[in-house]
Amino acid sequence: MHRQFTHLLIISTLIFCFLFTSALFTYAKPHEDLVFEPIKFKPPVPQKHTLSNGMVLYLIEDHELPVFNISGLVKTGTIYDPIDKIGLASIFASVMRTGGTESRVPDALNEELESMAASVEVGMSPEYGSVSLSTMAEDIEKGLEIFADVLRNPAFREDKLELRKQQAVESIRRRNDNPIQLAWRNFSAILYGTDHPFGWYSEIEDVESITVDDLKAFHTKYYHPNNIMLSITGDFDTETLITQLENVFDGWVKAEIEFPNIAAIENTPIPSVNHIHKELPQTTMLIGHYGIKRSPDFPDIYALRVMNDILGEGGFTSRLMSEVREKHGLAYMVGSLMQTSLYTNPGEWFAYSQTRTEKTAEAISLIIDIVRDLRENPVPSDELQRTKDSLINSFVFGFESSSQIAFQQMMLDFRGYAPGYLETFTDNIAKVTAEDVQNVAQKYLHPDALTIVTVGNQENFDRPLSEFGDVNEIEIKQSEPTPAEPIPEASESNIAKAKEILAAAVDAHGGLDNLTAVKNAVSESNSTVNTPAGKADLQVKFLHLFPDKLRQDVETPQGKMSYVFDGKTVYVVSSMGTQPLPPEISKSFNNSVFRETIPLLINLAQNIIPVQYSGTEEVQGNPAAILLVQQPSGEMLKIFISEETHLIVKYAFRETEQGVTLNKEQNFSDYRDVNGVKMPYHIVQTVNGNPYIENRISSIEFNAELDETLFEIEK
Amino acid sequence: MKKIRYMLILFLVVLHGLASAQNLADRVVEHTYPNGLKLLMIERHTSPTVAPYILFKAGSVDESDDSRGIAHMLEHMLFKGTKTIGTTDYGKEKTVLEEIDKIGDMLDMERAKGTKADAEKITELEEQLKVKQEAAKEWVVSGEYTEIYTQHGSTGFNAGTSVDYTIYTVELPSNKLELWAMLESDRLKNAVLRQFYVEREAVKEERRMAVDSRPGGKLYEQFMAAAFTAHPYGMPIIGWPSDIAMLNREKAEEFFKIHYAPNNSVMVIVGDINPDKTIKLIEKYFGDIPSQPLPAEVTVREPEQEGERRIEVEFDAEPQMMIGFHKPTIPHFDDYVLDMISAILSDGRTSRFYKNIVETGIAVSVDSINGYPGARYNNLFVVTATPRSPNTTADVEDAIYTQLEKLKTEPVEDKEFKRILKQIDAGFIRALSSNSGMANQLAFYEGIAGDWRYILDWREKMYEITTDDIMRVANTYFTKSNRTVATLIKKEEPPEEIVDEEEAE
Repeated sequence: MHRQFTHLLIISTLIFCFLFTSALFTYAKPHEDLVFEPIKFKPPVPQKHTLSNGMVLYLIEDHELPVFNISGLVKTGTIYDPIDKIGLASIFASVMRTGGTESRVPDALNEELESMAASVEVGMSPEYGSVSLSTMAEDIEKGLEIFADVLRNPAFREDKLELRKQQAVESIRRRNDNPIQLAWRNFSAILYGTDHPFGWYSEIEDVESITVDDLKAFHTKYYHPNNIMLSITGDFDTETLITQLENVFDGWVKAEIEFPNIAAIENTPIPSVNHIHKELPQTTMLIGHYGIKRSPDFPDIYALRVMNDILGEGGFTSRLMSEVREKHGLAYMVGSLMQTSLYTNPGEWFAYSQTRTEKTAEAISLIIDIVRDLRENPVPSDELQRTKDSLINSFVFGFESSSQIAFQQMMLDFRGYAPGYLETFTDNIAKVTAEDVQNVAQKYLHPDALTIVTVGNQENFDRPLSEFGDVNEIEIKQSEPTPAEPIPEASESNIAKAKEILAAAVDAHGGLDNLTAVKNAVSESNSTVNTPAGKADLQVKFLHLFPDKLRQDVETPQGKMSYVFDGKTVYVVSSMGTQPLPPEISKSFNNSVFRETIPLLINLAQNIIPVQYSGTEEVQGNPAAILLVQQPSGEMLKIFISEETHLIVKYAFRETEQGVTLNKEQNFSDYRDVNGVKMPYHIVQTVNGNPYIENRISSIEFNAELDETLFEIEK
Repeated sequence: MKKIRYMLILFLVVLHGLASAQNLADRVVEHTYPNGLKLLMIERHTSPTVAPYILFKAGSVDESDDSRGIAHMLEHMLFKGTKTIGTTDYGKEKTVLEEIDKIGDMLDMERAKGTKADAEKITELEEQLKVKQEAAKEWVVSGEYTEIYTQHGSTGFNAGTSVDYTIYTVELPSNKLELWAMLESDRLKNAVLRQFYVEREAVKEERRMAVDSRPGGKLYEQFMAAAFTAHPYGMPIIGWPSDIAMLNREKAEEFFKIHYAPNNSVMVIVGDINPDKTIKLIEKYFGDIPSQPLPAEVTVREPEQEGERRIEVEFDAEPQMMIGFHKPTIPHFDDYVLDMISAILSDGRTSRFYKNIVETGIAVSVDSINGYPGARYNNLFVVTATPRSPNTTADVEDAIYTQLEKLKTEPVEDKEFKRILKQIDAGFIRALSSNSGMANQLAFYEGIAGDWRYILDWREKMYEITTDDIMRVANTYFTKSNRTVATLIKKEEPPEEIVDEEEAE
């Protein structure tokens, strides 16, 4: 889901007495004679401590098992995504963990943690970030050191960002597969608008624009000790632990944080009916409106808690479940949820159901009737009592483990609940009357101003959806990285013209006999690569074994490495061993061997590949004819052939790298003669118009003595 | 608490955890009653709560051909109350229930005729059914059974049906344990499967939601059906739509009678209890339920697979895939080895699938699971994967096979073993921190492996596994002829209608 459903927290007190008040039944039930011993329970109270750098701790020592856990909150969230980079915060959180730290490369970090059965995780929710550590008690010290390292010194390595971006693009591609996710995304977008953090969602362009610098800036902005709370439980000694924490966070200092302003939404529901078509046997429906703008001392909270349980949050016994499912068999999953927000926004309230297509309208009407009834009629006393008993009796499940208790207290403080909330919770629930429930129902439920979203097959609904209001049909488009450029339909004259140009080009390059005589080529190059970190000079040796094998031996300041393409897969060979690269890169290499001048001209001359003429453009100051052919990847290749020299002067093509579609060009110049074949000695490749690689060829040798095993990988 | 009666329960993969073996062995208290009921307990006083679970060794695999889906349907029906709960007067209600059964059966028979069915007769029977269902409402107290639990502060009140077994779960404040014993024994002795046809509609909705509207659910169902040709493991737990349409109260009661016997069940109670008192309490409520002859085990064996099976499933969704290899179940030694292999392949960020397939961007996820869909009979080692576009399922499949092949020829590194064993031991300790988690695991192993001590034995076996074992097992099972491959592919848009211009004139 776009946003996690966050329940109102129900939580603790000091000593519980559970006395069950029995409701009156009309028929003798054996269980009514049971007498229950009252429970006396004094749950542990977390000790609150503030470190010298402002980090707030909630500590409970618990020596039952030799384990240690930290679960922490950072005041930030996906709501602080910049509008032009939606999705930044969650990508940030993933890469904060997967990108390693300044002193720990990702593999080493993973190995270190997993070999001691420990974990450090970083997460992101709409209104807070999360951090956690879990270790065995024997590894506390090491665990804390790694935990602090991840918090303080994340390295956000480029390759891990790219991987995470690819995954984000893929999840955008897949986001219409699941009807609940599809309905939810559209429901919140309609409610809040797509220009608001509670309504928007990321698109491929947002993801593609995110850079390492963006992640670093997000970290610098929000990750300061005074913006972090930790709940800590397990087999430790408090005094020792505090000293250890002071040590690992030593030198990390407080900082002022300016939080962006989140636009406040006027809490006025606007009714609308919306439909998304999907060929499914069942309709997924969300029916609701804004939730509640909550202040910390929100007085209606107890009556609301009871009302929400009666309506649809109380599981089996709630009215939605009991009517829609138990009595009418109209759903398996049905219920409601009221969410409040931490900040200036009201969250949302909605009822949900998944109902067979031909009963859709019946289910919607039934749900709306149930909501109306709650406003119009007081809750019967036995139902009210049952619900209150349930809340009071189950309250103890908020105290099952020390980690739950400490986390809960931290969360209450984070959300600004008044002190004593837990201690008085059961008393306050006990005081709720039928009138209170009806009052909050009237105040917070608006059955005349509902936003309805249905996903399904409207044609077969039992009654038209329009009975609930004018239907807005939402078109869902499948987001894809930019698809391959279509190759235009060729006319006979274009094909003929292409052949003519091609014949001249083959001659200019040395003629078919000379070209076909070349079985392999070895060239050496002084190359300059523009990287994000600056320019790098490399010595590269290109070994081509025509038609389809390629090896690049690269000398870098870090040592030698080779890319070996065996006609199918690319491998990187270095002192670290041999690794296959992703199919995407293999496809790129496959295109690259296809584009190699000698085999390409031969293939074209022998009519193996369709080719067509597509106009003239100026290249390097001279007119050049453009020929179009399709590369093995499906992407089109534009070949620019000088009208003056008939030599190939430029290639232009698109290529998708890690979810991003790039416009690439290769410019060829400084043609010289090698065994009767004209070869370019200067090649400049640009990406999106910016210079990327410049190859200055120093030597080219044809039909060299080449060991074919150079192009093979030992498997 | 949503009423999600999860249909598939896979404890085997969660198993890496159980308290450091000795600690656990010391803490489990066992008791067997004369009627065959087995009670396992762990005393934990961390909070005044208790998790009492009951497992019946009766799953969809125990169904007959004419009642597929009945194990799961019965699980739903057992929430409808007893002769005293859920009714104001069972004596009077009973007559109407029997009438409803009769009309329901006639209606099902008529509907089953498909195109040859008499539409008028159907309408008439539907009307009669409606009238009788209305009449029953005079006595039915809908949802009372669940209301009692809820009112007393229950959480996690639910049940799940797998191919192998059905489990009934709840957590309660510990002073309510007797209430549980009373209600659970009452439903074993006096269950009334009322409101059958309404609940059957809810089950149909469950199927539409979990299978027919969910790409992963659809793929799974088709994959299993292809992997098993003879054994009932290939049948969906919830049943095919036409199976569900023919389920009735009689079939449910029959299944209940045959399988829900004390000597076919395991009871596990973990939490704030006194074991001695608890033994007496259970005796008081369950002691008088008679033991009975156990139903026959499934005797059909899946014949050896003689060639790769490949299927495609069309759905309006992006591609994903499942690959399965037949292999023996517990306690065959190779099953332990495959647990180890699964950990090597897919546990954590140091695992081989993660490093070689996810981190290289070929797939967004690849996982392995040993022991689908159940563990009572020989089962599958399954790999599931979601490719990352533009990589295809074929690319991911290649990458998966590369990793499986590597297991056949290269010895696993010592550090991989060490890491996994350390995690197993830590998992044993962490698992003890949850009443419900422990209750689940003890129930599963006692019920399915026949003895909860399997957990301890499992840990020892994991320590015994050698690099040669891994290579031998990989070579034995990860073969082409032993595998089933299912791929979810996007439904082709119907071709646009081509209007012949001349004809159009």
